[in-house]
Amino acid sequence: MQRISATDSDRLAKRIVAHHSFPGASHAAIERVLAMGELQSFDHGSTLCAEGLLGDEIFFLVRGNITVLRKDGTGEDRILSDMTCPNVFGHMAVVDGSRRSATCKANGPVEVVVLPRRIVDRLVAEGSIAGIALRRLLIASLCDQLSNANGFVRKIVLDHADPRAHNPSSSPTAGRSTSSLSRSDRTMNQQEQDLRTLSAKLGGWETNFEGLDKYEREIELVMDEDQKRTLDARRKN
Amino acid sequence: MNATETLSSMFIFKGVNKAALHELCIMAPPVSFQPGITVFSQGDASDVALLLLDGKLGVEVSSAGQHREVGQINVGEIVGETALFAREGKRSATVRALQTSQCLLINREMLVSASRNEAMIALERHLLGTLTRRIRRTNQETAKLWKELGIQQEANTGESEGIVNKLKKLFGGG
Repeated sequence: MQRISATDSDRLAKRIVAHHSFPGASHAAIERVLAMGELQSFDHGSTLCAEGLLGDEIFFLVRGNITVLRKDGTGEDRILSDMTCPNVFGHMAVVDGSRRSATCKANGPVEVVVLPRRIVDRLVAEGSIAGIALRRLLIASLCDQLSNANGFVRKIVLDHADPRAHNPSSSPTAGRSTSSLSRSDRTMNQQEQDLRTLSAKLGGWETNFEGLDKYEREIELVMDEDQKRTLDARRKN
Repeated sequence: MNATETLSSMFIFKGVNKAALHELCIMAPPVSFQPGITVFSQGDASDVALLLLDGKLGVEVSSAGQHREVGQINVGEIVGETALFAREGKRSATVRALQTSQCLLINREMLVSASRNEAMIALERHLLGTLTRRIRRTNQETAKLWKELGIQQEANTGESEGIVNKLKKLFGGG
């Protein structure tokens, strides 16, 4: 079984600590959790978890980009959101034993640390520093998701109160299939972001456009040079 | 019944030893709220959560002067936990006492000092399940609202395309 490298573990733990803020989110504790999982690599297009199936593991995104999809009324896959490091995903199904509510596919080469249910179940019941860190990391992640979901309820109420609150110009990407959706997230107008975020909420998945923007400065502090170059290139586009 | 006994009778603390529950009650002395009292106000900064021991609380969200009841907090449930675990400790909803209610106040300092306390671990595990249920419920509520608004919007001929119809394109149908 392959483990995460010391360098990647250090980098990912720093980014998780920078992204979340809760008692017990120490770098060392997060590294202990990561050391218990298996490092897995996926090629572009690989499915990490599939909508409708039971989920027995959670994923820590180490490198690469994940596309979250959900089937629409016609059975066609639609993009809900994108995820990048330091996202944790797949935990809701592990917590409550429900089926996966969306499909996660590798968009380009991806590396994840996979933590199986038996380890998650053991850790969340423990008073060890790894147990405290994992339990609270999952709670913090769920708090973020719930906060976003509540924001949507408010937004829908607001939209209902004043239907002209949204710009009526049509979205350039709404309704497109996965193959044609633009990936220049940074250039999307506000309406497009609202649309994609709301779509994500309907599927129960956290979207991170807002989170990334909000914590961009902190994230940049722990980015390596390659990641900074990638971000700069995306901004220029 | 004192607070420790109340906790020991709650499902979430099943199997937790009384010493741990007593320690939790010492660190988080119970507080009471009379009916109609606002416990939290949406938008306020705060760093405490409440575990409801007795009574009932109501939750509502407001936006642009519109208020919507989004749920109730019953005995054994936690409210305000986002302030403890999320980066921004702003209240996302207003919480009012619907009945005379008794709660334990949990703050961030307790998460540090009682991180290995058996009762605190049980509380956090309970919170994992609670949050997951709330997210699923909120998602269902969002989908329901979307459907309701979609039906209304269809009746508004001549209105702009709007986000609802765009979502229909994304997900297919209403």
